[in-house]
Amino acid sequence: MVLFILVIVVLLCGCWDQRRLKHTKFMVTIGFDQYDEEQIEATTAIRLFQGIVAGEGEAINEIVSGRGFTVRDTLVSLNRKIADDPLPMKLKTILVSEDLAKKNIFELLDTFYRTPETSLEARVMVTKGKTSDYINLRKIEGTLVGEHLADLVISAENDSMIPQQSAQALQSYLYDEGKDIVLPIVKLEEGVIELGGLALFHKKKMTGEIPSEDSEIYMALTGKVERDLRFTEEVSIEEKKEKKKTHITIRVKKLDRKLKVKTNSPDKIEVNIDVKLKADAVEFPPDHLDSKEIVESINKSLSKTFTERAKTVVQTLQEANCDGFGIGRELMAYHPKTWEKIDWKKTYPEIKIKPKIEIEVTGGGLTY
Amino acid sequence: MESNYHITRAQLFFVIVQTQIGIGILSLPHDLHKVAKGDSWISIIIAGLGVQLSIFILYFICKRFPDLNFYEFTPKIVGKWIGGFINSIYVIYFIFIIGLITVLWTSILKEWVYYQTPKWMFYLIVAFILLYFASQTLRVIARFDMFVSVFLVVLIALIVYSFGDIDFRYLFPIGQSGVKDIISGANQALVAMLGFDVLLFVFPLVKAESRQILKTMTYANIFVTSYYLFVILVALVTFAPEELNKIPEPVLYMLKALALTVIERVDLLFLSIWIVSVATSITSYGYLASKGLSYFFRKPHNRMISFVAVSVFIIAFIPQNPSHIDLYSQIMSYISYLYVMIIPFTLLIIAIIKKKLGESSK
Repeated sequence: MVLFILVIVVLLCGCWDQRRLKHTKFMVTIGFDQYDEEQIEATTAIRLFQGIVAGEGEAINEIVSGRGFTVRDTLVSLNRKIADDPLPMKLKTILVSEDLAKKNIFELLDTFYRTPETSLEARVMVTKGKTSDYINLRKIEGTLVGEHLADLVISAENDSMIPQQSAQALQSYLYDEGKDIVLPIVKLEEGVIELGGLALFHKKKMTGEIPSEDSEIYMALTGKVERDLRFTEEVSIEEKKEKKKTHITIRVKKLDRKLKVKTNSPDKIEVNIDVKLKADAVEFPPDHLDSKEIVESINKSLSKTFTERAKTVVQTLQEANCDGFGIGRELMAYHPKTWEKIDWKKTYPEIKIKPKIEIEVTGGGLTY
Repeated sequence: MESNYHITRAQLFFVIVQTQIGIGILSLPHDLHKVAKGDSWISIIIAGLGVQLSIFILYFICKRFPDLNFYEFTPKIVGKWIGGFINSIYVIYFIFIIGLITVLWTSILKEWVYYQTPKWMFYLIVAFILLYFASQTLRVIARFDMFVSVFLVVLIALIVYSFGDIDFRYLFPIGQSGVKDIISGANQALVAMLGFDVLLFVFPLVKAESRQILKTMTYANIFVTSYYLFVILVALVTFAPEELNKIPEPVLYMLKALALTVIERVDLLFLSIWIVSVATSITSYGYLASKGLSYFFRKPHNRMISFVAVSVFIIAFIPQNPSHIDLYSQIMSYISYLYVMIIPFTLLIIAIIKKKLGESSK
């Protein structure tokens, strides 16, 4: 009998932490802007259904914004404006405006790391201009803005145009002395949201950017290329002693990156980044990819221009003091003695980094 | 003793594994990393070797009394009074271990899922687990342990699935933290590996030769050590060292960034499976404690379990804040050396000397 009562007690008591679906609203995206010197403004898009029957109604976004001194503070002020609790469980994207990113991005994310209900799968991105402008678009091509942004970033990740990331992976980078984060930038042009390159960070502050046409080069240098990375580049080819310029688009099939750190003394650190690319030509209007001569000259020309471009990318990174390749980590792991003696934030911009990209066009797709 | 009390070797394996793997798995990478840093994985191997050593000690002492369990043979070695004393401190130790598990379990669950559910509710659930499961015979417990071991595979599968941005360079340079830190890391790890001491009490109930039992114990130890080793390696390569020091439950945190198509929060799924692992540990210790009490009061152990349940319920209220909980687990981790190594070892020595003396006096 006692046992029976206990069972009943146990089974009936699970009602403290319930959250009813009808009393919750899920934030899909949230954006942070600088409001004035001290306060930040958060704008969030909440997913709702309009219509009587659930599932058949049209999905709409409710846009709310709130201000506060910290992120939690703004969330509380959001809560005052929303009838139910706004919850971050289904948060897909976190937008940070460029000027806030230049101050301290970690401050904005801290609360998401501390609370268990946040989905750390959310992608973080930097926006040109105010984030509220993006979120206020509400719908793009029939998709809600939050989901659209997430799709945009995820598909770019899959195509290896930007680094794979999630809010959680970011935290790992933020805490690592020998690595820096690189985030996608989005920009708004004539009502269309597009990817606008990569934002470079030094620790918690955004310090520079790589334009979108060079982001693929950066990706190739990191070596973290999953598939389908595409490049279009001008090549000069030699055919029957005749030089001409044309364009080729290649798709990476295999990418092999080696990062070598050579160091004899703390003030002499040399880094070689060798990338070997095997690629298919997916577009080459002048044709004749069956000719060895032409392929050779394409390879040569491409390797040269890519190495040049890689040099500019590396230079930009060093100017921004952004150790996106994790060279510091490499030093810590394999040259701990050197690491102890140097001040990485001062040393990194000074070290020699030599990138080299070799390209081998191995096929022409379905035709020659 | 009737044969339906006995368990097979495979069942012994799972009883040991399920008792060992429990509360510790979630926070182990964090606790270890605080002391041993990138070399935590070496610590766990050393801890595994330490466990193996004490398994040998336990085995040798059990072998001398193949038909008796620990509670029965201590009076034979050191006399009725001291034996009774040793038995009673073992019972108290087990009750406090369950108390510690309860407190840690509650704090993790409250932190991650149930913010508002009051503590006594969790304590009540533990009491219920004790009353219901630990009152069963060892065979029933063993069968349950065997059955829920499927979940161990699920846990590993979830961890494997969550592989994200990993960086093996976090492990280098090997040996960075020095011998002293690695050893004190092993000390931390040992707490999570407690549970092999169950052997002392179930030895006579296993249907196998004693050498076979030693083999099974070794397999169980290898299994648990590699299980932990895997979890730790994954946590080490996933999180930056600084970060790992700040995240108390790295295993859950890792799963937080993962979303399957139908399940958004995999960490919750993991938690609910992990609860079962904790429940099995609680059951084993509850069984041992009540068994000990049953020798004192000469009543079947399923009558005594309510006493265990009530004491655990009360003990769990003592530590009020995180620093108390920390102190509690620190004390338990040092005391456990006494219980799983020093006392059995001393008993073994005394038993050997007594036998020698007995032979020479003949």
